[in-house]
Amino acid sequence: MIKYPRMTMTVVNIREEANDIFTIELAFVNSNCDIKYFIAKPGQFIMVQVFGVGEKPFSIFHSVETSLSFTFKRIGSVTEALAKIKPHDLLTIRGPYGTEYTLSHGRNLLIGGGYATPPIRMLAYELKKQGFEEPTIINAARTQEYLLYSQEFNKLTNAYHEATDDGSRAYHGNAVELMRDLLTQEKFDKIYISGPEKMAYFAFLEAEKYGIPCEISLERYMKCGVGICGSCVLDPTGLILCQEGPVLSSETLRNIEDFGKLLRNKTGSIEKI
Amino acid sequence: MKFLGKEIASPFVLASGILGISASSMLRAVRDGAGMVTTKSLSLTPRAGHDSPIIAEFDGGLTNSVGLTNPGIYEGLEEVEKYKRETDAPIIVSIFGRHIDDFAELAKLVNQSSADFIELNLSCPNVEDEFSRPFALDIHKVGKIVASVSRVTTIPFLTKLSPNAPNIIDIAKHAEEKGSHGATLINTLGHGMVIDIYTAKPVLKNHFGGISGPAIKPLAVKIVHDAYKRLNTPIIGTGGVTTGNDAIEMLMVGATTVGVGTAVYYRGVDVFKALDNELNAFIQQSEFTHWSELIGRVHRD
Repeated sequence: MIKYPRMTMTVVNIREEANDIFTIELAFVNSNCDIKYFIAKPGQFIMVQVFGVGEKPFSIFHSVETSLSFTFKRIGSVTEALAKIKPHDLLTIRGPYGTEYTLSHGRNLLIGGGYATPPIRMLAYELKKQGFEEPTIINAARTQEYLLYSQEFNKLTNAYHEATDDGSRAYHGNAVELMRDLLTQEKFDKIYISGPEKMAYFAFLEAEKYGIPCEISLERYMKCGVGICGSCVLDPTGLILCQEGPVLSSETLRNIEDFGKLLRNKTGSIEKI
Repeated sequence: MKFLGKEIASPFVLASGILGISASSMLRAVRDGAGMVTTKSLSLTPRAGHDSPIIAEFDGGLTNSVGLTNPGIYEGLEEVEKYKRETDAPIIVSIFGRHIDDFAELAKLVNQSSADFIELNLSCPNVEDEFSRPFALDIHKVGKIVASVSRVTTIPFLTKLSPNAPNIIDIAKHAEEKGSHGATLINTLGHGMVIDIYTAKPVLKNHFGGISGPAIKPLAVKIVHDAYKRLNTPIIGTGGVTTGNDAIEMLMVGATTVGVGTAVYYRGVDVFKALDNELNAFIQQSEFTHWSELIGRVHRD
């Protein structure tokens, strides 16, 4: 019995969302798959393999019965190869792996940063689809060019806010500064975050001041994706992020001393974030 | 029950290469019921190992080609100290060297740490292109390494050997004669290959890797069976143990303790609790009162 089937999927299209940021849509091809299809939940990730180059984890951007999309930034050899992919090419994936955001009623604040925004976009769609209250959304990036999915977010909620580090559009500042402003004006029951870990960490500290529970998607070096290589283990609890994350609750994060501070590199050596 | 003089609460040992980078993950295995843990194999300098994919699943288990990823002996031993501050459960530090002399150098460093045991990884099949043939295939090299380590350590050490050596039992005996205090049998088998039929390419980035999991269990059981008859030192029986019944087989042929690796893939880190429960359920329904009574049972008349 195979525990985690690998699926060879066909590339339907690839589009450049912003400079060096791409989204690839894949189609399930029944004859090519060990399983027919799956539907991933917001926050989950897949391992994508480019043969001869390598394999990396990517968070899922969109998932329906017939297709699956993921967004990535051109940053290393695997993403360099992915950026050159053409429709009809084949890619092999494993997954979906990991934990998902848990949907809850009330006043939700969603915060996405840079190219880590896809899980937040998927969550916003899921909340709408399942009839939850309209959330408040913060979308933040270095410059306006990197504010992804603005039009979609605008349609998903009337409470959509943008922030750019350089002030090239909307609020001049980072996601945490904008969040701080919003928290002085509004009350929220829950905060969902996906972004660079430093941003997520400071957003978490801010939420803690107000006693608002968070769910945060973390990223770590993941080699196997299935809980055995130990690359993504968080200290001191020994939490295995690829299996018990990537989405973690405030309750869990409070016990993780590494959060926002330390991670393990390719060799397993500890580095500062 | 004691293993080489150290008290162990369960016969299950976290095998080298699985989750053994950080103290936190090894402590977690102990909390979940492991009697001992083994670190990832540590080398004199840090290694990134091979690029992903590093594992490829097939019907009977995994092929892996991790390539000895580790942060190096110095940082690795810091994790050992963190681990020993929290628990008395023994920790085995696995070491491997590029050259024969590296093992004694590494063993000296481990000897100054709080580690309970050393395991000589002479048999990783995944770095052959880099390091040439594993030492474990050459009885004389094994003897030389074991003797050199024996001279510099005061803490007991085990020798982990490869099923790729047709004379593995002779090699294990030779290692014992040269001073090894125990044997870890067996390392992964092969190289094996898994092919993606839609792209006609090997799945692993490194193309091939060592085979582990249920497919190699009967081989491991046979080797431990034969080794038990020849050796006077304890054996950590490792290879494909996934259930309590597998562990019982391994103990019955002569393993003193049982290594658990690929089962973590199938059953999660909680596997140790499950294995302990399954083993205890068998003991309760049998004429035995303790798992140690199972050791070597098949060799009795």
